[in-house]
Amino acid sequence: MATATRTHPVHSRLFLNRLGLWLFIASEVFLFGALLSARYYLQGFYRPAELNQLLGLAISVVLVLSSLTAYRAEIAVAHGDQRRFRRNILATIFLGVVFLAGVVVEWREGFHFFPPSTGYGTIFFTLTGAHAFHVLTGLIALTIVYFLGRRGRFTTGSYWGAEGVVKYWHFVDVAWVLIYPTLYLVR
Amino acid sequence: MARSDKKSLLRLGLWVFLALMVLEIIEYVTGVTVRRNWPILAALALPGAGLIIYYFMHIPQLWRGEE
Repeated sequence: MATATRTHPVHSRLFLNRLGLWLFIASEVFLFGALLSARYYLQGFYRPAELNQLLGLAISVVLVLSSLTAYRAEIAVAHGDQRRFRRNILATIFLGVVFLAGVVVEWREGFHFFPPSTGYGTIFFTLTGAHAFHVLTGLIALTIVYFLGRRGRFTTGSYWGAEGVVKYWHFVDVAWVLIYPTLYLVR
Repeated sequence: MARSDKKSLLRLGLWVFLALMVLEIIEYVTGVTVRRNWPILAALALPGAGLIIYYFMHIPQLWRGEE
């Protein structure tokens, strides 16, 4: 039998892993895109005066800071600096928990001032709830990465597990960078 | 990720973070002081998201094929 000529480029396993993750992230963009557009379709630029603006800013800063620590963790593991890697993963987890605690506080205030039965409340709790769920799953993944890192699973040449989770965490941050002005600031 | 100098990559991350902080603060001030502010907020939030996607998520890896 004649040997078939290869006509397709051969991609590395790492490239395919990255492509798969980006496709997954693209599917998430549709989810958050639908929720963000629903806010403008249903409520226009209305926002309640009772929104806790300082809390919104504070948790935004915390989440952006967690992206920095996640980035530093990835740089560290790529260069074989295991201690810095684990320290920054732990810092990212801590900041993620602080962010979720802030969401709990804003939910308590939200239930009082704009409950889910109101138009704005529906949007607010759906968007922040969907996002908080992603933060929670990111925290679980980061915790797994931390313990795998402690067992020495990631090396300079092989750290896709850590890289993938860090990328996902950055996506959660990107989503919040767009959700924050949409819920708190636009008018 | 390219195996370039670790220190310069860490410094780059810090600069991106500072840029994001500046954008967040301007967004906040715009949100509490300016009416009909959506064009300004869009002009601030979208570049912020772009910075994270480009520098933190390393999207150029997809077409540069970095290992």
